[in-house]
Amino acid sequence: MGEQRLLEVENLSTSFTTEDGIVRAVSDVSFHVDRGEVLAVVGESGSGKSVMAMSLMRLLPKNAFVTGWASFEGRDLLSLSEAEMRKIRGRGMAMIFQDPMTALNPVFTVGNQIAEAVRVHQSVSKPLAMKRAVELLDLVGIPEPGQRVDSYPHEFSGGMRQRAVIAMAISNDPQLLIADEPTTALDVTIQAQVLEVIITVQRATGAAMLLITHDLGLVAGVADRVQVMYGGRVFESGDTRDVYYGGNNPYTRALMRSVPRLDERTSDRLSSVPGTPPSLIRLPRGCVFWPRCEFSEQVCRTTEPELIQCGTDHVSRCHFATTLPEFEYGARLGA
Amino acid sequence: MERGWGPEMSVLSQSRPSQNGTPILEVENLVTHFPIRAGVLRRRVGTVFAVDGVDLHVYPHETLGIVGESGCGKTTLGRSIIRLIEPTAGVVRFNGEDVIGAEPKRMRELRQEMQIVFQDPFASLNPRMPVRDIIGEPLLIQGRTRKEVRPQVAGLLEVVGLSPEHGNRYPHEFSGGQRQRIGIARALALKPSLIILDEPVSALDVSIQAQILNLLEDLQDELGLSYLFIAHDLSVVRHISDRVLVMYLGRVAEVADRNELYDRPAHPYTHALLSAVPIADPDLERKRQRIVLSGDLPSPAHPPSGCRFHTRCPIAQERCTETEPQLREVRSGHWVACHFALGAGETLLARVEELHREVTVLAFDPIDTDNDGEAGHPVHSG
Amino acid sequence: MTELKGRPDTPLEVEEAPMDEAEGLVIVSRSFGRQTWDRFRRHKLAILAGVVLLIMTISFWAAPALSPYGFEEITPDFNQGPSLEHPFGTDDIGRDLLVRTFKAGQFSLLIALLVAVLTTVLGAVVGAVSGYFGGAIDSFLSQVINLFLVVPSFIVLLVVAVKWGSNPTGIAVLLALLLWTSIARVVRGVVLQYKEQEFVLAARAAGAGSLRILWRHIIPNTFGPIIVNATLLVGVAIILESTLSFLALGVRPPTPTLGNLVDAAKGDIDSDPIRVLIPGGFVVLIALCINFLGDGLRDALDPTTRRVRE
Repeated sequence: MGEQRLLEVENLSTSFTTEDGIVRAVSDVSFHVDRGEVLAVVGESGSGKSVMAMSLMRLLPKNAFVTGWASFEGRDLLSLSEAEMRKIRGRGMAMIFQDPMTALNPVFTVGNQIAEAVRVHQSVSKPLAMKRAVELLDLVGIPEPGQRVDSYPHEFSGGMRQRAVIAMAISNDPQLLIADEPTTALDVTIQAQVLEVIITVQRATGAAMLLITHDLGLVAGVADRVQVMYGGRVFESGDTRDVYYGGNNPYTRALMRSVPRLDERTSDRLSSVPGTPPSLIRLPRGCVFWPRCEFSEQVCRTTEPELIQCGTDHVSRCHFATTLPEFEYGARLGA
Repeated sequence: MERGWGPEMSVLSQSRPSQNGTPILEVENLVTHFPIRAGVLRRRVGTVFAVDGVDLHVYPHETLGIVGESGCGKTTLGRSIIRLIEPTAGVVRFNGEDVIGAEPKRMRELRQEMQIVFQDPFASLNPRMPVRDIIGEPLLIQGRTRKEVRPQVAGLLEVVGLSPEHGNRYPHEFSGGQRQRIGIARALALKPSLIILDEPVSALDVSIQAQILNLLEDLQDELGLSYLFIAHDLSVVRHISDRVLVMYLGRVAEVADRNELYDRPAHPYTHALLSAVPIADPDLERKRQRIVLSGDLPSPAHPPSGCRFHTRCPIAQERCTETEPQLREVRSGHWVACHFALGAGETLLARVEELHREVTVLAFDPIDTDNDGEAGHPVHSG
Repeated sequence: MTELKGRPDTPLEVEEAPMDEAEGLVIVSRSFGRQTWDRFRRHKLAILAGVVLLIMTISFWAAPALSPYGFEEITPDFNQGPSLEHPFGTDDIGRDLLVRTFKAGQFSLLIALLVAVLTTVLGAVVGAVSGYFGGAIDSFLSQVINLFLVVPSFIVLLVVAVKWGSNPTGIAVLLALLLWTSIARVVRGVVLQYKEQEFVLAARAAGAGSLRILWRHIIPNTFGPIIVNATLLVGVAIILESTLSFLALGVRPPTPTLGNLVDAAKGDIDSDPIRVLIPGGFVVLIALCINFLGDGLRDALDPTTRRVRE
């Protein structure tokens, strides 16, 4: 087992002190990522999915307070010194951000930035690092990488920039890629291109991936396992099929049913979830989803449910996880 | 028909629109170009061909969806129709009446009939005005007295699912979905018959998106509204539209009834676009063969010659680089601007193979049910 | 909305749940001004600066009014050090320095306020017109602004000050002409930013004309930046006026300003440093307070610090 585990997180909680009160962005989250696997973290804004990733990278602002335990390749991430952490960032875990424009520095050429990323972790000469940059650009499908290496970020289109960001992320062969909404800012046809690059690269390097997204379609194709988050908590986690078809969690069910689908032939009403996600400053008592839940009962208002085992490696945070009515995924779709 | 906003509002026609009868909105050869200026003297150095000859019709009680990627001109199109941007050329007729040539006084009256809802629920509400004033403003502009406006605003808030007490609050006190409701209430205030919805749900979380889509559908049934629904999300457009129009670089690529367009796309671009959208169903998604278009979207300042899509089209031929295809009806109500449109049931991949071309296909391995399922990997098919 | 309930294809009643209950909190409505004040209150230094400034302002007016001496009144005591009779001493022709110093504060402050008002009016009008109407008008006004920025205006000021700068109003007008461009540029930027905002488009879509849009939607949003910049300009004006008066190019005695008091006392800096230090200290204190106040206002009025739900 130990060989397999790349990242193990237990009871991770992150809160921020703000002028309006304490924001409990992540509450008591535990999960693991095995070598080479793709774990998708799905949630809406305010679910804590991005903060969770930033907590692991230790890239949070000063007003953040993180507790819990996280082990990456056997090293305790949360107690490492900043210098040791820098060695892990990029080399052990690398990030792909949503906005490729802010992830690149506008005053340096793309090649320079990739070469720089290489040289932070490897003692290679500048020309050698530039050569590596060209190879990486080629790997992520940038045409004429030998010339484009000298371009500035603004000379790249959005899709090209995201490819460059991916090239930078894999420049030191990280064990774990953390991709935070990597395709959200892009056009539909470009999204498909970038997704193809990410998956190719992930398989070529054998890296594991933590894919953070709100896009249930993206997850359906690429994830081995899925973790659904809401109100800073893990609401459900399990193999992709189990989570999509199992129907063991009211929030996951509601999420699945509220998304219009491309293959939907009818125009019946969507089953929307009433209300809005909770404020992380004043979370509801009991289950944080109860005010919006179609199955909520008295117990939900008073007691927060634990994660309940629903199958092999499949857990759901609901008092009625195993007794919910049958769920027919895609029932709304026409023939 | 007089519509009130009080609780006496009645349920009107629930039936789906028929496309017979006269269109409420007719757009012919609409062109909106923007000059690119540079230098101290602001000389014109180029042109953005944002909308470059678009024809469309919207029928009463109908939703026409407009999809396209960035730079296709869909937002400019919506704004040009109601003259928030003055079009360069073309005809817009509302109930048969010329909109582009309307005198300022008449235009102001016409604005009551055609309203717009914007994408960004943060930028579209003035942060310094209480919600009551935001929703009431169109009524005041159109000459209603403050006394008349107050109860109407309360009614409008209820119509969009907020309570009248919300009127005293400021926009920042609302969530994204609630702000979008406010924007919708403002658009409804003048009792328009056509609403241009410019990406109304794309800034919202999925659970909130469904609420707003349902609200829009209810309002349409209730009030007999016509919608021009502009979006980049093909799934949402399929859900809400009766007919769908696909734009590419300022031109119409294809227009057809919803299910006809999604089930039997004739334009290679539409086909590729549909293929690029993932479906939230693991078993289905891993059976699909998704075509990945190569290359980037060209800039609307330098549209390619001939068919604008030819630079990325996997089945383009000599003729496509020279002659711009015109919209032609391939099946009843199904119009496409392509020299080599796909037949009913013909897939783009089949056509590519027929032409012995290469294209990147994104396909994922099916899930191995006994654990250790590998994630998908893309294959290159030729 | 009640009519829409219970449609046959609706599996559960949606939408109708009151939003606040679902969120688990009820937000107390706070107006824009109220929020600004709440944010400003947190800046202890800005509050302190405001209070000090207020006390100074009151005393600038109160002290001369309560003093037995007029500020131009010559007493028989020449060149005296601080005493009970004359707490700040007297100058070389026997005028009471306490009264003169506070009166000088009055003049300096009035000049600075006049500068702030003039620059704001000129800058805001030029900036708003330039930004809103754009095109040729904007090109022309932008060139005018640039002209003011490239001309070595301080040298020009020194030259013109000799001719017109000797009275308080004259110097205020001159300083305003030197400083208005910064406000104009700020306002132009804000107007440019807001005129393309969707809420402005929405107003146009409803049939609103230019005047209404400027008045209801754009100008209110320029208040914040204008207030901040005008406040900071008061500080700049105080210092510039003092500098000019110190160089004997500004307001001439017997009208006292903080600058010409320092000028008058500079020969006595060894024997009687307090005569230089007191008016000089006031200049520094006023400028400092105004800068702290400006910083506090900037934070309080900056819409980006508005609270956002996580």
